Amino acid sequence: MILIYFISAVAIAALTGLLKNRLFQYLGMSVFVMLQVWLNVVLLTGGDIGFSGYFRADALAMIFLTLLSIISVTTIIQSFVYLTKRGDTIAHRSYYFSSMVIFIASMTGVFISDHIGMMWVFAEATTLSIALLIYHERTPEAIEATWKYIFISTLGLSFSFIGILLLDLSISGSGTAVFTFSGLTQALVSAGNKMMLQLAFILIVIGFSVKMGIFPLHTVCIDAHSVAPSPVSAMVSTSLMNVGFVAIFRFYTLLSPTAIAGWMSHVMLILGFLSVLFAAIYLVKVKNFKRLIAYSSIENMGIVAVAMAVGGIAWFAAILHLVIHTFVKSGIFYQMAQIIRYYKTKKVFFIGRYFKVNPIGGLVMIFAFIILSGIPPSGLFFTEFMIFSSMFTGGYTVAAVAVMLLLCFIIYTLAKYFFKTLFGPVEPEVISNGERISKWESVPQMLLLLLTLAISIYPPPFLLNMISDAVAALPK
Amino acid sequence: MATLLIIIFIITLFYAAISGRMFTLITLLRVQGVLLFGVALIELREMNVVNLIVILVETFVFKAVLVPYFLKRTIRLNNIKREVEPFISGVNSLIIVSVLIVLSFVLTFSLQQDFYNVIYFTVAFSAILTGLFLMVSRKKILTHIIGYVILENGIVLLSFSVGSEMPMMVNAGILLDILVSVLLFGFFMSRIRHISKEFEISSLSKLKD
Repeated sequence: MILIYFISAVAIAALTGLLKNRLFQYLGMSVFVMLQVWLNVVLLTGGDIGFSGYFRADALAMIFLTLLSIISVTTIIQSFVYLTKRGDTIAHRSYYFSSMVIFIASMTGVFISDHIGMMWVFAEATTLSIALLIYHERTPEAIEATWKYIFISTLGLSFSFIGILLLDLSISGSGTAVFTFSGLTQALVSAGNKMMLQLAFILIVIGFSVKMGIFPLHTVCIDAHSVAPSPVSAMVSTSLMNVGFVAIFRFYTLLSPTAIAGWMSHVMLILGFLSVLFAAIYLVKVKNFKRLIAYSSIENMGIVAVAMAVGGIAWFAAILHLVIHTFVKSGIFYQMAQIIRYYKTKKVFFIGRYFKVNPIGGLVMIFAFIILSGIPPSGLFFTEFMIFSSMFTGGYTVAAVAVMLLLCFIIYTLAKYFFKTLFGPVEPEVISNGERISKWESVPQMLLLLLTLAISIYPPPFLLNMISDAVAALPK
Repeated sequence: MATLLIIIFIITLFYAAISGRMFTLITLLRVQGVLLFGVALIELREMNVVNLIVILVETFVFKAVLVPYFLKRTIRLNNIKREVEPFISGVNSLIIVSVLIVLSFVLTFSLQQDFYNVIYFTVAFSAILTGLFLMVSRKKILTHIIGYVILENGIVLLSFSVGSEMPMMVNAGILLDILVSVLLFGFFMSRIRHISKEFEISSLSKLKD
C-alpha cells in the first residue's frame, strides 16, 4: 500500500512537472490530496502498511501524519490563490506543484519510517524537494536563501548520518541484524559504550536541528521562511519542523533507556533554552514580518525541546503543543500571504490599518495572536502551564523562570508588531494598491483556528489517547 | 591491500590541502572515488552478490565518474577562475590538516571500541574534518561543494567499516540523495551568477537581522 502511495506521488509530480498544463495541475493536485487523505484514513483505521522493518505506523507517526494531511489540503488551496494572484506562468506553476508533491510525500515518508537509514533518506529528500519551492520568487534573496538552506541542511544531515553510523557501530558487536527504531533499544542498552552513544546523539541532534529549528542550525530555517512563498513558509514552519521533532524524539526515545539519558536531557535543555534566548534577542532587531513569525516558531520549538528535557507530563504537553502550534502557525502564514500581497512589502514598519482593509483577515490575525501568545482559552496556555509546572516540580526552577521571562519579552514584541499591523499608522504611498480582497480567501485559516479552539477547549479523547501512546515508550 | 588504498586516501587529503587549482581538486575527487571502489571490493567480499554489485557500481559511477564530471562542467559553463583562492595559505593548510588527522587518531583511541578497524575509523574522521576545513577556509562556493564531497567520501568509508550494513534499498537511497544534492548545488551555483560574477561566499550576505 505504501508502495502505491509513493509511486503515485512520484508519477503525479513527474506528470505535473512535464505536462505543464493548467487543467492537469488542478486534476493532479486533487488526485494527490485524495491520495494523501486515503493513506491517512487507511492507516488511522488500522490498515496494514506493508514492508515491515522499513515502515511502521505507530501513534507518533499517525499524529503528525494527520497534521500533515490537514495542512497539505489547506496549503494546496492557498497555493492556488497565491500563484493566481501572482500571475505566474504555467511552467513556473508546474515546477511549484511538482516539488510540492514530492515535498509532502517525503515528509510522509519521514513520519512513517521505522528503519533508521530509511528515515534519513526521506529527511534528505525533504531538503532537496524544498529547494525549488524556496527559490520560487527568483529574487537574489531567494537564491541566497535556497543556497544556504540546501547547503547547511545537507551538511547537517551528513552529521546526523555520521551519528547514525556511530549508533550502528556501537551495536555491531551484539549481533543484532535489524536497524529499526522498534527493534534496537535492547541492543543499545547492552552495548553501552557511553562516549560513542553521546557522540552519536549530539551529531544527530545537531543535524536534525536544521529541520526542527532549534539552536545550532536554526538560522537557515529562518532565511528559508522569509523568502519562500507564504504557503510554503506555512509548511516549513509547521510540518517540516514536526519532521525534525519526530526525528529527534524518536532517537531520544530510542536512547532513553541507556546510560546517557540524564546527559541527553541536559543537552536538550541547553539547546531549547538557547533557542528561546536567540529568538528573544533577534526579535528586537527584526524588520521583516515573516522573519518575526519565524522567530516565534523557533521560540515554540525551543519550548518543546525544553519540555523534552524535563520529561514526565511535559512529554505529553510537548506533542499537544506541536499540534496546536501547527494549526495556528499555518493559519498566520496563509493570512500573511494576503497581507504581503496587499501592501507589497514585508517590512513591518510600512504595514498598518489592516483591520480596516480586511476585517475578516484582521480577525484571523487577532485570534491567531491570542492563541499564539497563550492567553486562555488558548491550548498553548495549557501546554505551557503543564510544561512549566513540571519544570518547577522537577527541580528546574532557574531554567523555568528564565524561559518565562524570555517568553514575556517575546509576547510583548509580537504584540507590538501584530497590533501595529492591525491598527497602526501606514505609510501613505504603500496603501495605494486598491485591490479588492475576497473574504473567501480567509476561510481555510479561519477553519484551522476554529479547529485549534475546539482542541483547546475540548481536546478529543482519541487525540489524547494517541499522544499517551506516543510517549508510552519513554521511561516514567 | 585495503590498508594501502586507505593510506593513499589519506595522502589525497594532504594533496587537497595544498593544491591551488580547481581541476587538481576534482581529479583528487576522482582518485578518491576509485579508491573507495577498491576498498569496497576488498572489504565487502562476503556480502551477498547482488547487494555487492549494486554498491560497487553505484560507488564507481557516482563517486568516480558523475560527480567529478558534473563539477568540471560547472566550472566550464560558468567560466569560474581556475585558482582555489584560499583564506589560509597552502603551507598553513597542510599543517592544519595534519593536526586534524592527529585529532582523529586521538578521537578514535579515546572511543575504545573493539568492533571496528582503527585505521578505517581514523581515515574516515580525517576526511570528514578535512572536508569541513576546506569549506571554511576557501573563498569560492565551488570549493565548498568539493569539501562536501570529500566529507561524504569520509562518511562512505566510515559506513564500510560498520559491521551490519544498511540494506540495499537504503544504500541506494543514500547515494541517490547525495548525487541529487550535488546536481542541485551545481544548478543553484549557476543561478548565483545573477548576484555576483565572482562566485565567492562573501556575495551571499543579504539575509540577516
